[in-house]
Amino acid sequence: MIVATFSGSKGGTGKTTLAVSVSVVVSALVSTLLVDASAEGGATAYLLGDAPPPYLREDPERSLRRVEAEGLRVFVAVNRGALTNVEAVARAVEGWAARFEFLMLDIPALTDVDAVERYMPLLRLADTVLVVTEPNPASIEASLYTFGGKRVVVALNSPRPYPKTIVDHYARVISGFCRRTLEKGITADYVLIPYDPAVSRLGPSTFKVLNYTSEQFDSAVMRLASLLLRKK
Amino acid sequence: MSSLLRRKEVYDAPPRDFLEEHERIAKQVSKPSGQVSQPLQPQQTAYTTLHVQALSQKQGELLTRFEALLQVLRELGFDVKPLEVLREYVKRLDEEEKRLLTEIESRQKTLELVRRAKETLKNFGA
Repeated sequence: MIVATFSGSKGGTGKTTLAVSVSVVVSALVSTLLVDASAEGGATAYLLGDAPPPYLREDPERSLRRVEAEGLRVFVAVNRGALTNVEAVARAVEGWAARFEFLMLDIPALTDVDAVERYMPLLRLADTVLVVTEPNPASIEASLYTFGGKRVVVALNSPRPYPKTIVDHYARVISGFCRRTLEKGITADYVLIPYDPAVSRLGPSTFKVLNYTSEQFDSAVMRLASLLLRKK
Repeated sequence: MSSLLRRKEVYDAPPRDFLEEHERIAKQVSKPSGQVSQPLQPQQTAYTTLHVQALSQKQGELLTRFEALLQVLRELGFDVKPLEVLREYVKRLDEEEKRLLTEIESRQKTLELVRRAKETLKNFGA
């Protein structure tokens, strides 16, 4: 199963944070690979701190690293810098799909036409798109899409505190989107991810930090993981 | 309130498909690049002619407005003499031109002297 993160042109919605959190949770159940396709190498930094090369952008096969902590094991395709040969990465991802049961592609914000063009091969590979959006008009406008017949799971994330009334309003908007998507015959679900100050401390000790997140955050991530693992 | 309603309409619209939108944009982008740029030439000429016409019309309007402004200022009792001011400016520019010409001539003379000195030193075998 291949899941790709998406937030449209809006960055900072918490794609990497959720990709890492979900990958850690899912790794307890199935073999998991997190592919860090972002130029900043955020997922790499979260799980390994300062990872030495080779990176995904230059040598996909040799970019794989194993991260073991707290009794869990996650594989990460480490990266730093923008991908130049996405076709090569896409071929590698296709190969990895046979070796891992769960692949999470952390795709950065597609801020311009070039970025869309560059990352489209990876987006096309995904079975499920994890749309990570914030409860604000800019983020909602940039990210609420369907992707052909692919499954869509929308995470309404609060990387910063938002008033409950605002979150509730946008939850209704997303619920409407999911309903209309279902009417088109495409599976769509959504999860509310609450604001959690502990998450902002994610870093090289991500596994430890995830022990200090609130029950609400944990159960939201668990629900997200179970939705992503669910077969059609 | 109207913006809220408009937003509501947007949210109630059928879901947009990212892949479809991307393909549509890609087609739009690829279309013009496939065309030959021949028709650009006459278009450009037409644009230039129109542009010049618009510019001269604009200048004419500006002059009329300027004259109207002068009239109003004179009626208000101001001693406005734009021509005199411009003549003064021309005089200053003439002086600046003369100064620069003198400077260039003097520099050229220095350059000539330096070249002659170099020539002489070469003749001495330096």
